[in-house]
Amino acid sequence: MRTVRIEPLTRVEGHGRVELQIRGGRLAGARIAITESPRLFEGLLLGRSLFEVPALICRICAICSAVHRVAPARPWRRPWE
Amino acid sequence: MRSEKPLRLAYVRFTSCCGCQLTFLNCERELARVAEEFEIVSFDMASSRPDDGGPLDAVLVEGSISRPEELTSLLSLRRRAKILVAVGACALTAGVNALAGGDRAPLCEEVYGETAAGKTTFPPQPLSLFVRVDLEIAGCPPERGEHLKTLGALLRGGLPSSLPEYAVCMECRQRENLCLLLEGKQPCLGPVTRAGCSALCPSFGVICEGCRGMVAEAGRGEEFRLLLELGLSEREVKARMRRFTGVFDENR
Repeated sequence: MRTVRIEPLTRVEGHGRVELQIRGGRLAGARIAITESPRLFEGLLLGRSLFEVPALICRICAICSAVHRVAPARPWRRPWE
Repeated sequence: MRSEKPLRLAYVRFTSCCGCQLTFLNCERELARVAEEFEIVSFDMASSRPDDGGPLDAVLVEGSISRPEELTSLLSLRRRAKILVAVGACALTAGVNALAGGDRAPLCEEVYGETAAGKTTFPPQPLSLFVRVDLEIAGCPPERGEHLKTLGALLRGGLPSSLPEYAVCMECRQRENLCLLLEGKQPCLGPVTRAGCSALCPSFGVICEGCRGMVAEAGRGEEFRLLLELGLSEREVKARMRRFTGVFDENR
């Protein structure tokens, strides 16, 4: 069995690699490894105001930044509903 | 004037979100010209070409350093490149990454589970802590124009002039915007933030959050007082003003 390693993953946000296992010319298995450095947004949000959250976590990923910005603003409505 | 051989350029990133690289990729009108003038040796967001490991005329580096592997890679880039440009808040001050400093091990385990135990990570650091940085491009994200200005200067064998030494308010007033802080009663950080973005956010009615870092001789005390007057708690004012000062905030 032969393993093809594709590293780094390109045209995507984040560091990672793909490993393809080839047996007899056919794909026998595929694995993805995320080698991204931890940024620990889960921790840096603790103790912060609800209103600060969108501006912080939109920095998780530049490609889907808009979604990260809008989603955490949704709970803003709840306390007044 | 075109140089005879295209300049060898790499754009790499460490602990960050790819936003700086993406900003450059969004310079769509200019990319063809860039491709003519530069040989792009490594640019993961744009190309799958494997890095040949050879010498570089310039390297743009996005992100902060938070793992030993990243440090090794940064040192190698510094050896290979004549000019190293730090791009964006993460590279300059560790940016929002720095907010998750301190003891990262318990948090890593909580987020990534037991497999995180074998991984070494340290509080994110700016590039200038480890290597000589020839030019800094501020912002989160930085401006497209600053990328292009830098590449243009590189083609002429130099570097662009340094960052503006005045506050975002200056550019905001030039654009005749309503003041979000005094008239809009919102916690805008324009008065203490380094300009260069043409007051992009305030021009869209969004407060400045200070992503380009503090301006020289910033009136921090006065800004602090103005934000408190808006009804924000002391804790929140501090948190907002420190969001992008990264590891360089002496009051952390």
